[in-house]
Amino acid sequence: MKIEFFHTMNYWGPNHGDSWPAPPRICDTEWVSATYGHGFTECAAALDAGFDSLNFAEHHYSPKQLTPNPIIFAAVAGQRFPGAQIGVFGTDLPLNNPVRIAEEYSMLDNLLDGRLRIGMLRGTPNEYLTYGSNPWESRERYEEGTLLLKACFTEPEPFGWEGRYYRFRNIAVWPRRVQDPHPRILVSGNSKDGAIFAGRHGLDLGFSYMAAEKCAEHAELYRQSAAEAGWQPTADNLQYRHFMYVTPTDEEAEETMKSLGSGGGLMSLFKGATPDIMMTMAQIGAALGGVPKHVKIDPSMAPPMSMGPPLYGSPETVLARIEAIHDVLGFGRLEVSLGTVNPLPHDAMLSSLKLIGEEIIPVLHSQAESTAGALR
Amino acid sequence: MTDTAVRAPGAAFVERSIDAAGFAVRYLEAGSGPVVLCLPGAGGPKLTFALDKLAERFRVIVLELPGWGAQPNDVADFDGLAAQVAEIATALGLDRFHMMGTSLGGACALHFVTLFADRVESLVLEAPAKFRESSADPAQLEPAAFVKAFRSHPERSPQMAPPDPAFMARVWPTVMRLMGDGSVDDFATRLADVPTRTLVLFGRNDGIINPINGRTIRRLMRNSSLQYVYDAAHDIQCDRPEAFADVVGDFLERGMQFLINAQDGLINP
Repeated sequence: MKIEFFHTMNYWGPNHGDSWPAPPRICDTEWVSATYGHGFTECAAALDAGFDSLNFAEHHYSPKQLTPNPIIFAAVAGQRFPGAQIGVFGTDLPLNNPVRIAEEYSMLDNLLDGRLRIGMLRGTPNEYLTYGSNPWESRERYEEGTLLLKACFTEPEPFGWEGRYYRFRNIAVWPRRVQDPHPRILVSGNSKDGAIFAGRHGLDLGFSYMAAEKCAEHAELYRQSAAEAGWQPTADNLQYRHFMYVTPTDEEAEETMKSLGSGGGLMSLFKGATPDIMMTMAQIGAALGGVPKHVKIDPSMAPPMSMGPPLYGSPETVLARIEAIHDVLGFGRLEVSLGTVNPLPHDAMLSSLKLIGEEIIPVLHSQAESTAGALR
Repeated sequence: MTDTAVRAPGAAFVERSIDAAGFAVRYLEAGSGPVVLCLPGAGGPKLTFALDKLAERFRVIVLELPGWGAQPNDVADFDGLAAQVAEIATALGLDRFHMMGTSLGGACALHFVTLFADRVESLVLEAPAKFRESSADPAQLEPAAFVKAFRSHPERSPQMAPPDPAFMARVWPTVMRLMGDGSVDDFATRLADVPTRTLVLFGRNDGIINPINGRTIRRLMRNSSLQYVYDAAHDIQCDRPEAFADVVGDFLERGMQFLINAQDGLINP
């Protein structure tokens, strides 16, 4: 099994605001510099520990993730760490121009000499207020955009695209990718639709923070739709993302997490939000879940997120937890971000990475990847 | 030439009057549906194509503020003027309504919402004149500079007319008294408690009230949204009437969900 380090570049400054979007006036560039500086040190420590990839993602208008354009960050990280695999998981495709994204990833694949994997995601509800994207069209735009992106990667002659949501009469993406025809593409399996879409189109499938049993249901749909499309995914096509923090004892991990505030996931971005903004987020969440535009919603109609417990504790506890997830899901790539949505102290991050390198990674790397239960 | 360049605005508006708060209050009304009570700027009620468009979706009532008509108003401050507006609204049979204040009317609307928040469904502030950091004193501007500060498109209908000296002599003492109501710091603490959803609009070229003052309101009012209108100065309604009516109408209709783009992007099925 591979283990990948997802760095959120969580702002080191003390003031994260109490709602989304966070006002830019509270952003101190000295803290931004410290964030990126510590971030690169932690990436180096992760590689030293034996992590298989450095991964980044797109989020907007928030101190929780200072990589609104992860492609830029991936380019810099790829230059700084010449041997490292780089993952961008991923781009919020419905917010972006798919052709432009294809061009940028084509550049990046060349700059990294093929050390790149990429993800196409729909984004969290708040992202739909970033560039004014219509959330009711999200699913259709996302699917069409992903297939347009693939066409940009694979068409050898200039071509046009007369889509449902995208119209480009003249496309010819340069440079060609180093990886032929293109870097591996991952999509989110947190929804059934996403899992089926990935299977149907030969894409990797990624889960984030969701309970393993729920992931397994979707993975089964993925395998079925892949079989119908004539291919068979392996464990390496399945990626599972969650928070991790490993300390010598369970008690130490618990104490640190308690002091950080255990997170609360996406909702922690909105602890000071007005009822109007919460209702707006609920409306978008429902739209992303397929509730039609004309339906008046209440917050309960947002699709429920069944969170799995994070990977916190001693090496033994965490390995047992990984094994339990693996038994259910049969994934081959574990992607972890250390801590919570709040930044982990730098020293704690480094010591945890070291311990993961000593106690977790050797076990994961020694295991075969293709079947559930392989960690036993 | 656009359609709005050849017509005069306000064709659908009817002028009425009501006795309230000790004044014979003139007002202009058009449309049906949820009420938008408009408090105009220091120049008094002015009908615009923006209001015409809003009147297609709402019952728009433009008040002539007490003191802007034939009777003088010796009210001491914006709180006093807001209290008079509350009496007038009651006399009009309005319990809870949308309120839209323009410039000086925006300052009055801000005071109104701190005093009578439960009566305001939502608040629209067009270049509100309450906070005036780095702003101009209109009385000190040369005519050409005043036009530029006020309108990015003075050629658009209704065209700017020079103020009537008699009108100015009558209302300007009231304007000066109200604008001298300078308890801004205390007022800021009052605003922080206001839950009313609020849209703050500034033209990016506003030369009367510096648009930076929009930031102050956005920071103080948690449930507010600051929107800049490109290619517009102080008089957004006349510079960009369609844009003004779009953003205001969307906000009044959908509340903070106006932040969500609901426009259909489907090219062809």
